[in-house]
Amino acid sequence: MGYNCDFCGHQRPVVYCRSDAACLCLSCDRNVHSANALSRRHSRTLLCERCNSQPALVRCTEERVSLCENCDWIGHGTSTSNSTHKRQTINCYSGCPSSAELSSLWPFFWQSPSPGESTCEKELGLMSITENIETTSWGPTGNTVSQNKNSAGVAEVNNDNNADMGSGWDGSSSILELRSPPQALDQPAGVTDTSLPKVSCPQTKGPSLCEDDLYDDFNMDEVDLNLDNYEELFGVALNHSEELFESGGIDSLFRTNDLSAADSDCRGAVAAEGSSVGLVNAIQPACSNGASADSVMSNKTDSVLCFTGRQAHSSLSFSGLTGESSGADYQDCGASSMLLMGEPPWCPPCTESSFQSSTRSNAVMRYKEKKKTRKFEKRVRYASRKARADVRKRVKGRFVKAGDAYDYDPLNQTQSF
Amino acid sequence: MCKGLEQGGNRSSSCLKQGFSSGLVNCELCNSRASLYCQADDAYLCRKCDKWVHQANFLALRHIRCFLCSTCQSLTQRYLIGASHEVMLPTM
Repeated sequence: MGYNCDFCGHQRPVVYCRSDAACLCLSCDRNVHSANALSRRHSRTLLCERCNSQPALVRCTEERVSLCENCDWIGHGTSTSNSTHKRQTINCYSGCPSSAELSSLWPFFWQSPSPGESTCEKELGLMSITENIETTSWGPTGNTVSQNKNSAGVAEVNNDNNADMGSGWDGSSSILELRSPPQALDQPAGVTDTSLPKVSCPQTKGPSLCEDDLYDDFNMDEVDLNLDNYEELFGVALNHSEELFESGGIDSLFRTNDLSAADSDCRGAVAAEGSSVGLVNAIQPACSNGASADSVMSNKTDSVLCFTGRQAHSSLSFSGLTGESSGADYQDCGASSMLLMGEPPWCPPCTESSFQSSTRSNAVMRYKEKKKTRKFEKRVRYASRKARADVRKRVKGRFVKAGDAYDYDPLNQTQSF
Repeated sequence: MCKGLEQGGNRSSSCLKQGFSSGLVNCELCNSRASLYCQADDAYLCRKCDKWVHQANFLALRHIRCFLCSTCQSLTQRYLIGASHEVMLPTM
């Protein structure tokens, strides 16, 4: 969380994995998610450049910055001049795409397209070299292979997103044309059925992304509607990535810090105990602040007792967390809140942060209701206090104590002409 | 949710619910009977595959997995964290 990749700890993270609830640099992202078939399915997206802690949902073309839901609302929801900025949805990916594919997925991310293509080609060549060197199981098969599906499904999500986004968005939504992937990706050998990665592709609006040729390399699968679930489940953190890319090119990020398998195993073994304690800590309701979190951390056996005390928390109570919870709490907020609901934890998507739209809409509705009953006229709240005030002695209109000098006594008035 | 018994429904007499009408759920990797569900991965796994998958790196180790009732394979209140830390959430 924060400023460093969660895995290596010393590079700036670029993408956010919703399943792992982790911010990763590109090389660690590739390492982690090529480990097995299940991790390849994880959906990753860009990090928000403002808060560096949540997945970016939209990209503001005017400000040229990728924003998470919170920062987007903060930046665009309040001021009327900003609310008309054009914003494009940012796509997610899963599997192990190469840098060329990522650059086509996020064309704004790299520098301008024409020089970007040439650099991407170079990088693609370099990537293949690194691929040969690496003995990891993923190869060119990493990307989506499945055919175009569910254009109707995409259309539905388009409509949903239209409704959600509100006035700042264009009215029309463009569904990206899906094309068959290039040959290099069509290698089903060695890839089991369960490992077909999906690329989620919410529709993108805005002139720059309407061109289809940018998406040659990508076969968009059915829209990943799990996006909503994960987004609500997991807290978020991210770093800005543009600086990284402008300095070194994406390939530098891929090649640096290749964690060997041994390292990750060692780290996994060491972290197993620590993580189990950490997870027990995180299971307590996300509402708890750092102090109580520490107290639970210190006593593992009390963890079960803590659960009983916390199960009644509702999702709305999480809104108190936002700025205060630690990074670890934030990550596991989704999981912990689910567990503590007391309902079947996996079925309904967990409501997690205060910026979730239902919490906000509730607050807005309450405000509007109260607004109707506002009265600015002179209004007496307590009749008894008015009665007392009417008989008090005054000096120049101000109340005075009983024994003090006064020039107006309402009970004993003399008429002057 | 299937309460079963404390140990995830060892005795079938107390487990009446049938979670899935289509039959039992298989582990996604090896197709044997699934005994865990990982919500982060959205995957049903058997014990062995779960161990293999989630010990790959420490990020996967953080996933919280839910035990499935051994009879009806619905979710229980037992959860597995890390390598081998089991947690039982009390029901209200």
